[in-house]
Amino acid sequence: MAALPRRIIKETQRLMQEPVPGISAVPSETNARYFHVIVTGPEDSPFEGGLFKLELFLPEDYPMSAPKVRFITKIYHPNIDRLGRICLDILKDKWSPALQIRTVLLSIQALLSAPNPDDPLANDVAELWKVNESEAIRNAKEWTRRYAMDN
Amino acid sequence: MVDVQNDLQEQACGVCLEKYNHPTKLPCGHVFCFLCVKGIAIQNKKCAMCRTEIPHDYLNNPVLLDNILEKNSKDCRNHDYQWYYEGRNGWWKYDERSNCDLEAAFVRGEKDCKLLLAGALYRVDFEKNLQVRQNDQTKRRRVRRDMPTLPSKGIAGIKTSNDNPREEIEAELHREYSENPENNQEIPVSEDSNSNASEEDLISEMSHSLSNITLRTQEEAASDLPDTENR
Repeated sequence: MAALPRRIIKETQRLMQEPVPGISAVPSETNARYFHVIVTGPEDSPFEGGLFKLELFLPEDYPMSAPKVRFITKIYHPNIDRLGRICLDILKDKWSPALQIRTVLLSIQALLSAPNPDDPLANDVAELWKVNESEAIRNAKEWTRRYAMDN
Repeated sequence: MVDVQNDLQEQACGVCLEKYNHPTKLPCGHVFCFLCVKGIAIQNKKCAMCRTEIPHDYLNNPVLLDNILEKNSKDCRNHDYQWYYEGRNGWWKYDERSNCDLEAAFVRGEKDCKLLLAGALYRVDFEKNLQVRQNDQTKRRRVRRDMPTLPSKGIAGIKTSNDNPREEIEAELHREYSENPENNQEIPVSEDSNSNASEEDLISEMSHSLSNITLRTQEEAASDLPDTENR
């Protein structure tokens, strides 16, 4: 079937054969452009120990336009809003067709290690992150424990 | 230069992740397949590696390197037939990879084949001999399956004759038929009549049938699209 562009087939195969540590991305059985993703919370971050579910969709003109990615698991993070939408430049204006599913997911994992409250999507979270970082981190740990563990 | 060529043989294009097909060098020095450059020049307008802007007129005069795929690739065997799409005053060959996909789907008896060309998804309908852009059904071109020796304008927008390629490539970039949806007749072309037709027959046939191309209904069109936004 040539219905799926070769590049998507290639990326999918590589994701299966050489998975990225801490990241799993499995295509849906009914739609090869829709991926079930799990990202593990990075060490030494408030998200450590959590397993975060995301969904990733490759639009029709991928790789000319960016994949659409969203957190399904609730997460307390200044750059991720309550709908799971992610504020990350490479998913928007800094997208390049040379980026791939794996590089996108690695960038998202890196975003968990390095929250950026100066470019917020969840304003209340970002505000607390700036004025009282230790409380924000405590909240993030609590949310990780409550929503991203043992589910 | 020799080293560049050897390197290219080992590497994959950063956009399609395949071996370079008609490698094309951007002013910043990065190399991609011609069709990949066409895609990024039209849509992103920046180099996929370094984000340097691609001059808006770059495609009028692209820097093409030796085609490696043509020389020594085994992943795309030669076929007895070549697929063509219609351009101004003639036919373009599909690039080698698309030709393989088309021929394989056709030989398997499928009724269509989907292709990603320059970053846009197209559907080639073997029954109507038409290439239709998936996200804009008014963009359509006639296609034909014929001998590889059929006189052609070139491959995938890369002109092979000595004519000045500038205007041609530019003209081809945005040239796709916008058909009148009120006309409702089928195109009267079968595979056989198409491949045996002389050039003149074809031209008269085309001018007749181009005014009669059937537009697929909205429902048909919608059912082709993956469910994106509702997930």
